[in-house]
Amino acid sequence: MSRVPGLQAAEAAESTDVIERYEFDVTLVVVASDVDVHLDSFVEMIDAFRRVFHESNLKAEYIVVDDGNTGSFYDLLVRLNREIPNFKVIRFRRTFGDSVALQIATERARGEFVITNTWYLQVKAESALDAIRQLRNGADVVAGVRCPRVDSFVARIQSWGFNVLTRFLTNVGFEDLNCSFRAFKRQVLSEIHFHGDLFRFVPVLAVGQGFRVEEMEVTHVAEKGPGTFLNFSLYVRRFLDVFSLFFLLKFTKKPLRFFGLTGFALAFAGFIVACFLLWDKFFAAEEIGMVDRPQTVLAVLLMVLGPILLSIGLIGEIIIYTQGKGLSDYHIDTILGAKDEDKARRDD
Amino acid sequence: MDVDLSVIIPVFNEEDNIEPLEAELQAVLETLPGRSEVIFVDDGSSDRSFERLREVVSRRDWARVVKMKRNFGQTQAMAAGFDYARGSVLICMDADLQNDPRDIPRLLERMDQGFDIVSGWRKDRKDKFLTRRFPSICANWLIGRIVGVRIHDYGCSLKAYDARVVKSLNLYSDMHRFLPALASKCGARVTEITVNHRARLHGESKYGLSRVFKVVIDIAVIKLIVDFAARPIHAFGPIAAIYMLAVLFTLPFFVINLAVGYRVNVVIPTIMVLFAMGALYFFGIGMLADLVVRVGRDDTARYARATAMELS
Repeated sequence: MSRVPGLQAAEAAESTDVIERYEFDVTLVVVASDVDVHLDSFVEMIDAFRRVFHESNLKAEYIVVDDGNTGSFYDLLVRLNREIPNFKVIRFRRTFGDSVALQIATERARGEFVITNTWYLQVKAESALDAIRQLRNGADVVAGVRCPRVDSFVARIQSWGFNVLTRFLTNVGFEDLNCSFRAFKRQVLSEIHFHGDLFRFVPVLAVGQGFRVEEMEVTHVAEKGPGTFLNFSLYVRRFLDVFSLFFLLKFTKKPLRFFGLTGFALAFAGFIVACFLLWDKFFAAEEIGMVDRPQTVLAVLLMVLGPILLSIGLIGEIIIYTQGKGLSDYHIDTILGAKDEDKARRDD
Repeated sequence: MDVDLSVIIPVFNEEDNIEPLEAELQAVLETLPGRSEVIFVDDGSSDRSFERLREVVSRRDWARVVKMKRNFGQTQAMAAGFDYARGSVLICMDADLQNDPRDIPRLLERMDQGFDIVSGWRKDRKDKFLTRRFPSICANWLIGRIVGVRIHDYGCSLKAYDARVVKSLNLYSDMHRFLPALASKCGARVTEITVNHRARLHGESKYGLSRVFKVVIDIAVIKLIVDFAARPIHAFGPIAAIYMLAVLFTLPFFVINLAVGYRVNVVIPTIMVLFAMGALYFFGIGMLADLVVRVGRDDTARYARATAMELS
């Protein structure tokens, strides 16, 4: 049974007499990259959240990941670490990105809830309380939706396009996947696996695993991320991200279903073209030699390309079959009847 | 805790069938020697199935329920059941009452004769012919032919498995249908017995014709895995050879055209290069697949280890 992480978690949750004790009510995780000279904004953000948590008597922990910043940001963190209780700092040697940072921060987090935010005050800090309320009411993940938006029109168009594309390809719709403000039950966050640039799709992945994900409108205050205006290579990257997410959700364990149909269709089309050419050569009234027509190239091209696509799917299947033991593709909610082992023993 | 028999029952929206099933199971389990458990896997039912199952658990010592977070599919439900089961023999069956729990003792009897998998065969099947039975007959014939394990009814859920065998296999996607084939590839002894099949009383069938394409693809995959998972180059190599033959076939045309042609033909060298590309590609991908297999795990070895008898 040990090879199914979800199962263990469910069992732990089921045995209610061993409730996991959390040191803190909430952990605020901030992944800071490209902070540059805006140190004031960072301090402002931390102060705002501290005030909110303090006013509502929440025992809070802060984990800041210094994701490859240069300059005096780290000095500031060292100072805050001394001044603020439970202010923890993780410093990376270089920029490793949001996904890695969030995973490492999650491993360290000791709060019942984990809230992620940008290094500046992107949304009102009071949103944290609403999010915690929603988590206590049964949500596993709360995703923020910035509203009304205060960033530029171009940024909004880009954001909208990205969300529409994601919705179209994955059938899981979220209003605002670019919003960094999110709240999780910690247990849930450690069960979601993401890597690379999948960080922004965490809500979609959570839905795929069967968690309850809710959206919440948060008041948008400012936008200070690195400018992303009409950046072509960024568009390509984002599109590839969405596409790999689509593949991950639908075909991870059945790659041949994706490549098989396309590959077979191409090979079949090539076969049909070849049949026409053969007909013209051998049975048509006026013989047309195959090597004198460009259609032959098309037929051969299709007959090579189709099997190549198919074989990529087959390679995928072999990889899944031989390496995929650790990927459990189901997730358990509750287990009943596990506790009456003693009773069963008495029956003997 | 030692359990001799685990019955695994995936449940998806079967609220009306659970109570009759419970009664039937109770009647059968009473008669069995040794200790048994029944694991209901609630695969994200949207009706009151889970509440019904909760009641069953409170009434019966042998009942356990594993509730999935959402609907993941029958294979995943079975995998969850297998992972959670503690018995040395595992029996899967449907929750729709079409399988008859009274077949369980007969399955066990056959297992005792030294088989690793005993498959049920619904010889007298009570389903619609055109949409259910006919596709099933075709699929069984095809699977049997291609995979080489001739059993009549791959689709029958009622099957008994040696726990050591299924736990050494990797169950994913929609592979539950092919467990006997996969296991037999690893050396398991597979047989079948006829089982009772009853018409559906409550609820609706969850299957339709839409799965035909999926089953065809899955058969191709199983074929590849069963025959070539150890040495995939043996699967890809011959395809590369076919492309190479095509190159050799076009080569004389090319030479003749160069030698005597009044103008050079473009089509011949182009398709020659394309065929050569295909050959190289398939050779390369075969090597790649071999590499993947070599760093991966080996089901046959796992099975051998799990079932080996040692005297020391």
